[in-house]
Amino acid sequence: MRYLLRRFLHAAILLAGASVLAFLFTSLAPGNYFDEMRLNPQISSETLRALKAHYDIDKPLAVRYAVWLKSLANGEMGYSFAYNAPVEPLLLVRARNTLLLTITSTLLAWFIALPLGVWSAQYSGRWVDRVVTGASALLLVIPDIALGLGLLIFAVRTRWLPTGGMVSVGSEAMPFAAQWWDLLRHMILPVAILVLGAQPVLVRHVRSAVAEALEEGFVRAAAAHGIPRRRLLWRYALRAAANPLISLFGFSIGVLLSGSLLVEVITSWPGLGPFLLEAILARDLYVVIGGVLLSTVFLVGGNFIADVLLFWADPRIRTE
Amino acid sequence: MKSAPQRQRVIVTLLVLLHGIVLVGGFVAPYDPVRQDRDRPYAPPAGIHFADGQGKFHLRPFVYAQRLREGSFDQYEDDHSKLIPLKFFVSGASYRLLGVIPAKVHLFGADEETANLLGTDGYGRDLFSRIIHGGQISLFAGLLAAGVSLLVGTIVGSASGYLGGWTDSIAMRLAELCLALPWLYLLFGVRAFLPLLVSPVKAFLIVVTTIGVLGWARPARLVRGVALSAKERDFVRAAQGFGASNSYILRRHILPQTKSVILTQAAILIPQYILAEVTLSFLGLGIPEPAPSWGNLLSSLQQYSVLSSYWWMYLPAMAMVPFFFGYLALSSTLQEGRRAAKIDS
Amino acid sequence: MEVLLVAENLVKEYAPRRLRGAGGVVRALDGVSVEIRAGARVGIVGASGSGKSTLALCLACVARPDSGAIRFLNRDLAQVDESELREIRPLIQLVFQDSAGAFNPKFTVGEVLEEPWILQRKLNPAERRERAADLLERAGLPGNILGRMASDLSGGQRQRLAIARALALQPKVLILDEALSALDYSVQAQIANLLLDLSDKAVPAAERPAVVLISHDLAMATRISDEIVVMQGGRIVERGSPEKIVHAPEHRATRELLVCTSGVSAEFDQRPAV
Repeated sequence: MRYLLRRFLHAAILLAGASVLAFLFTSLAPGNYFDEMRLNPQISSETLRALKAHYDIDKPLAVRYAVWLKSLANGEMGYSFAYNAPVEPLLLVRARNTLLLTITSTLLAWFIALPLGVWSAQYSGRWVDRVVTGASALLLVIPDIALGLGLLIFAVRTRWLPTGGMVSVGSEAMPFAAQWWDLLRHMILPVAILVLGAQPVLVRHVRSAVAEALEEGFVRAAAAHGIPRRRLLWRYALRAAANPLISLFGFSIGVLLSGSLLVEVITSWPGLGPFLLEAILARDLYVVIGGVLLSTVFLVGGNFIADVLLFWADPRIRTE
Repeated sequence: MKSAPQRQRVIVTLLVLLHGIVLVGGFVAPYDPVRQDRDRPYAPPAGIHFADGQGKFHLRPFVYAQRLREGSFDQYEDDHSKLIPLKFFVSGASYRLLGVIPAKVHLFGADEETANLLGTDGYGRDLFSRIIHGGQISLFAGLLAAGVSLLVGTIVGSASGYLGGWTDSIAMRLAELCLALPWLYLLFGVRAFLPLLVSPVKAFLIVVTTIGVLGWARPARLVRGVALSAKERDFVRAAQGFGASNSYILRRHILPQTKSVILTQAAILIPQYILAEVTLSFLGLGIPEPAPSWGNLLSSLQQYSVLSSYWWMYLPAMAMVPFFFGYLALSSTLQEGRRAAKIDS
Repeated sequence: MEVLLVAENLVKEYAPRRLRGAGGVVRALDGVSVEIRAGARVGIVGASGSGKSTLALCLACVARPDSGAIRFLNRDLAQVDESELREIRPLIQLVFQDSAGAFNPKFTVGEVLEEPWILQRKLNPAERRERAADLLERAGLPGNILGRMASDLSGGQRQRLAIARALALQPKVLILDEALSALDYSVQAQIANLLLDLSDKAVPAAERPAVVLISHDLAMATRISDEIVVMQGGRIVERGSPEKIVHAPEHRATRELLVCTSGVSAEFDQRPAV
């Protein structure tokens, strides 16, 4: 139990440090949102000054950080200059959209990769393995951007799928079931890109973890005892392969918010990625910090979840 | 299958060849990548033919001239009445070979005519030339950035691992922090917060430095591991017994041991960083117009009209594939080699 | 003969990490005192865990004892400053058991031998090469291996090379920590003879080191040493000349070592304890 507490503390400290770093980075950057406004002759310098004071731009860094921390404790994340609205609702909506995509594709990707990897490891060296490994390698050498754009062009040319956005125009007016179907149709393309992009790495890791486990002495001994193959695979080998797979799963969770930026931009999916990009270009300070922090929470949290799962799954860790 | 060192040599040869083609890009590319031809925006690729409409076989390959289709303002068709032969070693726009030697000879071309083997972009610029020159920039950016990462990572990692104590603790905590932040966002953030409207050269340097410096943590950790185990070895103790200074030991005994780790990391980082530059440029945060980069060549695809009508604008994406294949194959043979070496030792 | 190296009441503890965090320190050295004189040949023997290796590391200034003093030529090594320590270190040389890690795998034999002089900034390249060839000869190695990779040599050759390198800076004390244990028996005999030659009285005093052999092999130690020190559980349990140790062992540990050694028959165990 103490182990878990230690890991949690570690994660919390990491998060705190990351928030400081993020704040530092963004605040030290030259130029801020209001400098752009200064170029606009319609805004008087008085208004500008009032705005700046309102947002505490001129206060020292530490003060701003403290104020931000306090508001964080209240569940607020600061104010967006560009949208003239508090940050959290904006971020949360976008994060929800992103998670819709990434959770679906992560689950699907694992659902496909696990059996493929296990299968491939089981028949290591035979044609099944070769096909799977070959296909993985092929996918691996095609970078995400090429994959995404390629599938997009395919979608555009065949007109089978909608080519952008999350919902069709006027979907609010549709009946409930139709709305869901509309959403689903829009998800197919980005999810496909994400799943295909994740496959090679996942399959490769699953395959190597299971293959190594199958080589282990105790598995071979069990096989020699005549334990049926299926049981061998699932109850023996998979448990031995669990550790690296759990870590990988933790990583998958970690990138739920940050791994889909490119896909979202390409398919015009209104997720966190494009939103953050826009904010970065507009120097919308608190949006950027809030977004980066949210993603970091997932990254650090993913690791922590992996730690918890490992603790639960591996008795060796419990005795440390 | 061939043995690992043999395979390595084949792959390295392939990579060198590919990079070589891009290196002498000015020679290979028929046209100046920034030369616009506003009369021929989005012209499709001109197919290479050996036999013409009458069934006559020509020894010299040729393309058809293109003309606008009747009633269309953006659809082209081949004009079978006009054959443009392709000549080799033609004199064309001047360029600098390897960035230094002024030259005018190109690998192939069509003299006064234009033959766009891969079509043109919205400004009528030859896509083939832009892909080659863009490759120069993207590849070079990736290689340079990897070099920066490895340099910073090696310095920090070896010092951290060898000296231990506070240096080590602080460095590794910092590394952990850097690795905890989402890399892509960090990249965008840092890049976007630096001046955006700069010359292509400055942008290139900014991009390379940003990608390289932000990626120091992983190589640093790996090098640190090597330094940690190396410093326990007897020959280091022996050298210390002879009065060796820390810098001597780092230089003569520890750093040479890091070579294989650095090489493996390089094979992994280079394609990652090429992709990072491509992504940055694609999103407008990288190399600005008119300089070509594989990334900004693809950014026009963000417009629906381009996506649906001008498929050849996708080709720069395919140009990356052979390079990634080479690097991937290289890193897997390197890893195999290290595994085999471990078994032998 | 002058006293070179003295260990006084050394104590060194290790706290091993346990699964359940239970305490329990291991006393590797529990009040050990030993004296090494110039030209002496001392054999420190004991079973595994007796503390002999720890003693070797402390004597060679590689490890620091928790309490007690080590004096070299009457200077307390815990009190000297860095620069003096740097001068003293080359005079007490350590040769390890496993020579595989003793040399940088990318170094040639020549580079291995010349390193001490390069580090001490002595001799020019030509002199270094000459002295390296000299050392090879003293160590019984063929002169033509200077260009070979140090890691390519056989076990026995590597130990000779390690000894040669240790001799480069003319140390006053040569400590060999189980340096023979990983070798074939016949090769062991050769190295033992080498050590005898190196510390023979005929060798001029400047080049003759005191030899300290750490071993679990009592028979081998008696071959080389003039004095045997027996250790058990971090303490010295018996001392004496080889003859006395072999023929009239007093402590149980000594007798156990006698039984275990190669080439010594079990008849000694039947002798009653005196």
